[in-house]
Amino acid sequence: MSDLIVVEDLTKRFGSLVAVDGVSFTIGEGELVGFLGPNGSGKTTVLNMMSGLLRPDAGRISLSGANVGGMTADRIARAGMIRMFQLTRIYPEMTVIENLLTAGFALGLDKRQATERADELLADLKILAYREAFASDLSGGQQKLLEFACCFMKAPKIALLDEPFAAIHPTMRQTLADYVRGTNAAGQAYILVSHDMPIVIDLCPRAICLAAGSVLADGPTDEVLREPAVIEAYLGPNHS
Amino acid sequence: MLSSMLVSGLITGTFYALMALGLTMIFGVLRIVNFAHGEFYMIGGFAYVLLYHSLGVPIVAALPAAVVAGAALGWVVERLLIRPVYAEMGARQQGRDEYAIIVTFALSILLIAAMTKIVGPWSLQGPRLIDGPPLLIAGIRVSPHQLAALGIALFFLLGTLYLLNYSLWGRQIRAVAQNRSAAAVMGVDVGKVSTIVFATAGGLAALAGALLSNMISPSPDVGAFPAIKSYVIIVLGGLGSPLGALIGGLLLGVIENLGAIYISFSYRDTYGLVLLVVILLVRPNGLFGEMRREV
Amino acid sequence: MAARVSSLRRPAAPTSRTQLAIALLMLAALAPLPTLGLEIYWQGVVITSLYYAMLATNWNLLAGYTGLFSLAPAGFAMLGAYVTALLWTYAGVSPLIGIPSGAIVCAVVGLIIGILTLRLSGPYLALTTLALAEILRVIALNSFDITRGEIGLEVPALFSHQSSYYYMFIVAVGCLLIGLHWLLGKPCGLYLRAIRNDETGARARGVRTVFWKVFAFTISSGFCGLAGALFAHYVIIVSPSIGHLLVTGLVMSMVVLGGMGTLLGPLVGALLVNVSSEYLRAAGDYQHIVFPIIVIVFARFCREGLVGRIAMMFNARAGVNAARGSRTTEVLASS
Repeated sequence: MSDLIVVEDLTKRFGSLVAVDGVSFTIGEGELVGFLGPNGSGKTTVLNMMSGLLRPDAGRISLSGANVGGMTADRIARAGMIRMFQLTRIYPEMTVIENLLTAGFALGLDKRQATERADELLADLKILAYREAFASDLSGGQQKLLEFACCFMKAPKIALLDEPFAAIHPTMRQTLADYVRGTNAAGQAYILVSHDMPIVIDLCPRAICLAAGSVLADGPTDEVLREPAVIEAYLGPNHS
Repeated sequence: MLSSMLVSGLITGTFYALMALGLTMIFGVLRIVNFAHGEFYMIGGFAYVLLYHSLGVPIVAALPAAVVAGAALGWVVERLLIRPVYAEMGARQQGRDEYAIIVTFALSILLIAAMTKIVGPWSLQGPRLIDGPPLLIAGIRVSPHQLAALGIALFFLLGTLYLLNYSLWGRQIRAVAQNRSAAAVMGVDVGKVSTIVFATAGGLAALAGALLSNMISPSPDVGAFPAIKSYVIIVLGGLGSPLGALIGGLLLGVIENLGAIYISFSYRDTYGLVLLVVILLVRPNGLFGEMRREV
Repeated sequence: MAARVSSLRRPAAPTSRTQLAIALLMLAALAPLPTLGLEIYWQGVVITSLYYAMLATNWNLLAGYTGLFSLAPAGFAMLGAYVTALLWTYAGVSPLIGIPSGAIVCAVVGLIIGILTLRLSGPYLALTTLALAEILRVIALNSFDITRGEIGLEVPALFSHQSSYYYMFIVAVGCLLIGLHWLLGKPCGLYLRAIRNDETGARARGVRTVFWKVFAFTISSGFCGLAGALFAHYVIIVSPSIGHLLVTGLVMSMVVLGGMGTLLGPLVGALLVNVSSEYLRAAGDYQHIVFPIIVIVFARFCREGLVGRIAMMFNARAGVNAARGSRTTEVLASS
């Protein structure tokens, strides 16, 4: 398995606070990796740096061998590393189909390709009925599905999903999980940040656990979850 | 010549800093630029002049009254126009910036037009704080009035900075500026802090207007240039940085005065724009600007 | 809960063939008025309205579609006017070259300001354009030897009859609206609206946000310069008053009143504001008091403006249909 993502010694400080402290990991083609860690452990900050929204203070990030550190966020997205946010970021005053077309055009599709792909995604995610509705009229869960769909208008090399399953109706959660599982089986790589332990155990063969800005454990999910350090980070030192 | 221009630059800069400090505090707490800031200055100038000339109020009462007028205007603006929208829109940023720009800019035009209706388009010179023959200090001629105005301005400027750093009031303001929602969770009344900041900013700008009314006679549109200079200063000092406002103000005052001697006097108001362009090119976060978390 | 709150703020149609058709019909209805005996004075009011409609449409491209706030539409109009005036006065250059030169100079200045300010997030564009507008005005005012200050520079007229200007401005506004409608139907239109909706989201999904913001600001500046240069040869005197901040205030009133982010709004707003200004001026110069109040009230309680409000009523019906999965009406959008 060749390396799709190589992250080396990634560091970010906010004032005196070291939010991410020398994080390194590699992700191979087609892998589905869960990102675990308590609040404030630096998961979102790592994602922000990988997607180019935040400039790292130190470290290297490469995608398929090319250094993407210092590239603007839009270039990284076009290079194939795309990002879904924890707090939904769709275009509320545009229709569902316009949301999708915007993403498709930006990633280089033409009108026919983009329209076909959008309809396909809307059908897969079971929101085709809302094609012409304004995005602001969708429920919170539907908006998440829409943002998710926007990330897949052109299949990325890797998708970074930040808490996609939070605050979303169970049936939609199932739709989303099925889509992730299905595309991963076909070779789509993911990083999945989630607090929802059962879903991570269910979906991700491998997990990386962050705590206080450092990698605490990295390996097969069930082993990571048995690590005493991970249990301590999650449940506090007085557990057991 | 050079040293006297330097000193007069620092004096002008003190008044600029008085304006810019309030503006940068508003930006720090509410993340908006108050485009009606020059009109706070104008209201202060007119309040001072009209109370003295038309109603015969003595200077010792007219000057505080002008500050109160500016603070009251700031208070009303925040409560009536800014706060409802912030409460309604909650954490969502979208739409708030555009609302704030539109409303404060419209307010600026409204206040200029309303004042023109009330007092006419003319300018009225304000009274001196103290009369007396000019003094010669270190080879520079200053009138006692200028000295008194500078003293009062410095007192309020440094006093505000001191309170910002060392009082509970200041700590609350800095907490809200750093993280609005966290401050609210910690029990700071964010709405009240915003109102107080707006009122303080209004009072400081009005004070500048009153103190300068003898040297720059207030007219309804007198606020445009002080306001534009304070916009340049807050970018120069870093948006939201009080210390940056002080140093940026002094710096702009000096640069304008040096430009007036060495380049041309009639274009002295334009040097700020040149400075703004240079800052945006080389140090867009300002001299004291901090990078902040975005997502 | 979130969905219910947002449905109260149902967005208006950005553009549509219906809106374009209404705008063109309005212009077509204005066109024959001079031959039907519209007084010269009122012809002038319509010409001024159409000049303002050009500025308002360009400001709307920034504020209404892209979410960028320039406080220099009047400043750019003044710059465009001075370019053609100075070229004529000092080099004898014909207005036919001077007018496009005005537009190009403004576009270049817009490009530079755009590159400087728009790669930063924050209120830098509004601050810089405000400083630029006022400082350009002061330069024009103080450079008496070159610009003759407040007295202004005389420029030649383009036509001998006022009605010719009337038709020229109708054609200019019509072309501008058709062009904008066309632009909004392209991917670029989606990018601009995406930037206003959520700039970070757009960037993270591959939209070249800085490029498109600079693009929008550059063309908007250029067209403001064009409008100013055309207007200069109608009033045949170019003075700093063209660039006064009050003009920018009026432009803002027109867009907010008519409807930000709607194709038709600025035209409707420009006509409403200018025609009612005539009466307010006669009543004692109340226009600069009344319109800011209207702007504040609209910004607070009717953000979508008049055209937006009407379009919303259609959309409310269309939205219900969309939720049922049926085809939406044509009012929704054109792309």
